[in-house]
Amino acid sequence: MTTAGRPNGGDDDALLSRERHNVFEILGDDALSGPAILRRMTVRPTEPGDQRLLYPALHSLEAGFKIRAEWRSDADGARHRVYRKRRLLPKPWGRQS
Amino acid sequence: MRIDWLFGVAYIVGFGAFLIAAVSLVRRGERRLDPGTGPTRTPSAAQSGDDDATSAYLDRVTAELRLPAVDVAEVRAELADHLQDSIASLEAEGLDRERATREALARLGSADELGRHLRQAHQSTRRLLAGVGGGVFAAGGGFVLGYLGGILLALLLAMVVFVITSVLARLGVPLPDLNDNGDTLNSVLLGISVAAAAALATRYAVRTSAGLSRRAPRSIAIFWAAAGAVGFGWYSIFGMRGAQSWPGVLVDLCIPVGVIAAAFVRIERPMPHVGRWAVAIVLISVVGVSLLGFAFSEASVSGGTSPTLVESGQPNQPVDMHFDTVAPLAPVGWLPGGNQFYGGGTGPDWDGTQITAVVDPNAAVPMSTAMANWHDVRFEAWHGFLDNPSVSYGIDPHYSSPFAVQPAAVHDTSIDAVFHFERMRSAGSWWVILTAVGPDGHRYRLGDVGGGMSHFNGSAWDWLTAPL
Repeated sequence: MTTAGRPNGGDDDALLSRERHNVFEILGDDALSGPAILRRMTVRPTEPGDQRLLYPALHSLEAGFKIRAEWRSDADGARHRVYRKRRLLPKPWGRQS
Repeated sequence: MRIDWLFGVAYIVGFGAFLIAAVSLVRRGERRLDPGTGPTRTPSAAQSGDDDATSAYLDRVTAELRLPAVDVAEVRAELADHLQDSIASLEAEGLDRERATREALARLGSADELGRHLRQAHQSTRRLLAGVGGGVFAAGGGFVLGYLGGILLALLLAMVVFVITSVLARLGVPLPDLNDNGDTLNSVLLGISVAAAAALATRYAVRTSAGLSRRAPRSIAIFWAAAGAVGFGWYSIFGMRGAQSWPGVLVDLCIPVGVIAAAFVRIERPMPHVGRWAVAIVLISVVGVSLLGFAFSEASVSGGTSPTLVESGQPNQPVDMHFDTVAPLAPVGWLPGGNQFYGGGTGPDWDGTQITAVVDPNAAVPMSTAMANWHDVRFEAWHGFLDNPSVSYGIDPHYSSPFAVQPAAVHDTSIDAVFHFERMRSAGSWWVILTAVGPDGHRYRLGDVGGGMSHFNGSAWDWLTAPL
């Protein structure tokens, strides 16, 4: 997530690349929605910051087959798009989230 | 009848797997393009709680996306969900609804920029390559399905034409007599089948590659239209060989146009659903036709449209075959050993028709020596009467000149030349005569080497550039 001011167009690729890296790190083994990822990212800095590259980063990772997305319903029936890392092999028993 | 069962089973299994995989791929692309059959049920606008400002923002984002409908719906629903969550958080921090909405939208940045970034994220190079590969694969499946559908369509048309011509004939309306051994019908049927196959293949390619590469069908249709027009156009005009006729060639020439139309016309509309039964029927049809083909290919040793050759021994002509139409018979004394030419021979139609005048093996001198006083030795192909030998036989005297002439190659024991009757539009029945200019400067007939019947066998281009 970018915390600096609005970047110039030429910086977009570098910023998006860093955002992709951050998002991928934060996902860990969990399945998280966009707002949930944002909350985890904003736990560290106090400033909520600029969210403009969050979804481009998520969708770019998905298009690159790094993560996968699916729609899930919460307890209230509201549906959220959640992301999780793609795995070549399934996780061992006992570590399923 | 002998069938190679291992090959047959491998063919059926492999072909079936290919067809099922291609149809599955097409369906996958369709699910991405058609909101009604999308892979996920996205939240409705009501659930997302759009208000005016949010809706206007989302409208601007989605207008910039230019993605397939399902992706647009998903992006919109996801952003609406995000904004709803963000606004609720800001309201919990003490902001009123209006300020919270404004702040939430500001954090997402410019709608146009977000839409552009999302579009770039979706339309990755990897997805583009997947779209190209998937499009080619889907085109293969579409070609097979379209070909079989085209055969059914062509047969239906043939039945309609048959009924109409029968009714017209009963009413006494004069109809053109094609009399071409079914060449017109066959070429038209083949042209319609390939046209349907090419059109469906192109449409499958556009829709599937659009779905897989996350691009709007219309935006990539131009590439498939160009590739299809060149590829299928080349095949229909230069590569597809067989019987030809003017109506058949006309259909062949329309195939590139049909491909371009198939790539653009109503390309945003969903493809008709190809169900399991359709695939099963196609598979059964292909397997059945293939097995019949195997059976016939084993049972028959002949192929193609080899000309029917009628050999004639000149000394034993029972009737007047009108050979004097060509030229007077050469004086016997001018040929050492007398009349020493026997019948001819023929090669496969697609390699041309080999015409050979064979020398008497007991001849005293080689052919080259015997022909020393002759020049401009050539074979002349004249229209013949073989269509109905019971009525007449030999050369058709209505013609005053040959329809094809080939210089003869003189060898020690034979004289030969190759005619390409299969590349002539109306060779039909022919008779070949060996002639040469004698010592007195007049052309004489040295012998006849037989006749035959040929049908055109070539591409549409061969037909258009044929000498007759």
